[in-house]
Order: sequence, then C-alpha cells, then structure tokens
Amino acid sequence: MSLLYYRQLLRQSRRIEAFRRAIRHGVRPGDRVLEIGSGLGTFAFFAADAGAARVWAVDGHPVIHVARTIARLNGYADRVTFLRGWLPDAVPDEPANVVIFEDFPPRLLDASAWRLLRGVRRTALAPGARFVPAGADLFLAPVSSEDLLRELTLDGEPPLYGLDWSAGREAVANTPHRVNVPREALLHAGARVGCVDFARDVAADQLGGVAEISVDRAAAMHGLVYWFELNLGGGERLSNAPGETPGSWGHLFLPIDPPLALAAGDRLTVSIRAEPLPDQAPGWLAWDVASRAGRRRGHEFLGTPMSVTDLLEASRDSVPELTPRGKTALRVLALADGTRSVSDIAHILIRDRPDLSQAEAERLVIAHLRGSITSKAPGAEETGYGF
Amino acid sequence: MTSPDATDRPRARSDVLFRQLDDEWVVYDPKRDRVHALNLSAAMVWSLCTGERGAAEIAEAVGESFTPPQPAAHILADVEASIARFRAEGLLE
Repeated sequence: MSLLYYRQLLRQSRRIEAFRRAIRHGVRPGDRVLEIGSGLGTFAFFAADAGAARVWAVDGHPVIHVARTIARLNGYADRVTFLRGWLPDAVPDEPANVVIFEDFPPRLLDASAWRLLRGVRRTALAPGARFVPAGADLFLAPVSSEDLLRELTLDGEPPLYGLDWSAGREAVANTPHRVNVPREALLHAGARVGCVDFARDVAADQLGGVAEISVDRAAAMHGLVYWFELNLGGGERLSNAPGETPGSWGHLFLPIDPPLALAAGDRLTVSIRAEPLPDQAPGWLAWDVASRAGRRRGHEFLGTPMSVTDLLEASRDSVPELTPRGKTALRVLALADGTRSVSDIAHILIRDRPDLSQAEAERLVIAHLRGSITSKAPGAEETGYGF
Repeated sequence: MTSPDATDRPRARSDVLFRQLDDEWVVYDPKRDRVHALNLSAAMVWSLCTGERGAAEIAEAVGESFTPPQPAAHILADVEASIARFRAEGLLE
C-alpha cells in the first residue's frame, strides 16, 4: 500500500470525524490506548488529544515510519509510541485499557481479524478494557440486480471469445463478492441477523443468524447483501450498507443461482452463518434463502477454486514432508543463529547448491528469513559512529 | 416381512458438502472442519446415500453404472465398507 492509499483514507472525512467524536467520548484522561492497524496514526493522535496518558500505535506496514515523523512534527512523540509489527510480536509494555480497531474485512470478522482480536484480549489488555468501536450489528437484505449478476458471471450471452465458461458457474454462485450493490437493488431495508461485542470473545455463530423478511415488490431475486453497522460509542454509528461509503470496508453480495421469482409481500427466511473452525474462528460463509418460490443455498467451500491436494495439505490428518524449498528454509533458519551475516549464510548454502551464484543465494536467504528475524548491523558496537 | 429400519438406508447429513475437484471428489464436514477424499466408486456410493436405498440397492445402482455392468453381489462388500466408513466418520444422519 502506497501513501496514496492512506491519503484516500484521510479523505473519508465522515468516517474520520465520527471516529474523532467517538474517541473523544470513549478515551478518558490517563487512559492507556492501543490502536491496532494505525496507518498514519490519525486515531492515535485523537486519543492523545482526548487525554490518554500513553498511546501505542501498532502497524505491520512501513508507513508507520512516516507516522512516527508526523507524531514528532505535531508534538505527540512523548505520548504516542509506534510499534511496527503485529501482535504478539509488537506488544505494548503496559496493558491497555482502551483498544481502537477498524481494520475490518467486509464480513466484519474473518478468521484472521478474529484471531487478532482474541490475541489482543488475551495478551495486551487490562481487565475491563473498552473497545472503539464497542460492537457491531450484522444485516442481510435480498437483492434484485441482473446487471450485478451479469458482471460476475463468466458464462453470459454471447459467450466470451466463443468459449464455454460454464465451469465457473458454481464458483461464482458460491462466492461472497465484495462489489458495490446499489441501494435501489434492495428488496428490503435489511434485517438484523447478528450482534457482536468486541470486548468479549466472539463466537462464530454471533456473526450470523436467521431473519424473516417480506419483500417490498415483485422482482427476480439474485442474491443477498451482507453488511455491518459499527457502534463506535457515544451514539456514533457507521455502516457499510449499500449506498453508504464511510470506509474501505465494502459489503458482500451473496448470489443465489438460479434467481427466485418473488411477488410483492412474499415472505423469505434468510440466514447466514460462518462455519466455526477448530479454534472457533469464523470460517466458510454459508447462506440460505427459503421462500414460496423455492429454496437456494450458497456455501463458500463450494465456490473456492482448489484441488484435493490443497485441501489435504491444510488438513490435520495430513503427514507433512518438507519440499526442497522447505529444506532450504530449514537450513537457512538454522544458520541464522546471531553469529553469521546474510553473506556468510549464503556462502554456506552454495556448498549444497553450487547452481546458485553468491548474489542469488543471498536473495534466497533474505527471502527465507523475512518475518522471522531481528537484525543488527555488523560490528555495530565497534564502528565508533555512535556515542 | 417388515420394511428395513431407517439405519439400513443410509442418509448423508444435510450439512455435509460434496464437491468434485478436477477428477477427484471430496466431502467436507463443516462441523469438524474435516475433508474426506473419495475415489469414484466411493463418490457414487455417497451420492446414493439419500435415505431411500439400502446397501444392496446402492450396490445395484453402482454396479449398473460400471462398463461393463457389475453384478451387485460382486461389489456389495465394498459398498458396505464405504457406508461403514461414512458412518464411522459421522457423515451420515
């Protein structure tokens, strides 16, 4: 992500002002605040303005080095500490009692965001810590939009380049699509199907549910749209519903195939659930629509391109064996014991891999070490440059 | 003569997903997040576990789909073994 990306985020003044008011309301003098995914540090600075004694702004992206300079230029350096990395590697040196987090995927919490927040609750927080946003509600609504479906479908008429693309039909129909659903495509204002409190562990079944809906008008139904509304605290709410553009979150279109022919006033039972993974993190999304006109289901598992090998590699029953690349990684990691430079490790590697030049071996070593090491300059203590 | 008990007519759990991937087949158990790879004959047996047929009828249907057709009696033991495996893995209702 370039600085332009962060510049575009800063332009979303409605979202940022809502967070500013919520942070002013939620952060009290003396609080210790942790912001996860801080980017340029905007919300961390708002927390300092609200009276926080200390703020830790954590982000794995190198933009954090720009943010640190911005903090210095604006007089926040004494209160805001930027930590590059992700939990549990980048962790505040004191437990925080307020958490700011808004790096949500369109489904609110996928396995990765869920695990991140669980890790934060377990390792970085004081008892009774508060979250901004405090929670969220999840919504489903039926959608009628032939245009939307046409854009997603591979096997339209006339066939693209004269080829048969029907093999993609099942994948398209079972994939949650992050696309812009126009508000006028909704057949209902939206029914609440789930509710989440970020201060508590979130069960996967809270991220979905069932609702009864009466459709507004006769139409062909092509799918559902799934969105969330954040409760930032202090009465501030932000949503990624169709027609709202407060952030970079987006919403999800969940197709049904074939469409359902609905009459005005038809009652639908709609549901969505995230299948819990073995650690209880939310996994595959599954959705269901039942109506007088028929029943349709979608399941992300059926829409994800994969092979049996991919599945078996991810299975707990698989018996793993290192590939040649894995064996090289093992060797490189074992040699990184704090005594050898990258060049030294590459030099040793070449003994087993004479096909590699020194420069190629060094590039390989750097690639295998990325994300797994801390590093110091050679002889940093003896150079005499410091004092 | 009484009709066979429901347990004699295997029925796939409605939440278990069945999918062809390239030339292989898998069933995915979302409750246990577990994937089972099936060969063609096991996949045929699975797709016939609808609660309407017993093992002998499944064997007959599978046998008829072979080229040349196989008598049900020749493959009944394999069909029963597949069903027993599905049951042991908790994939049947």
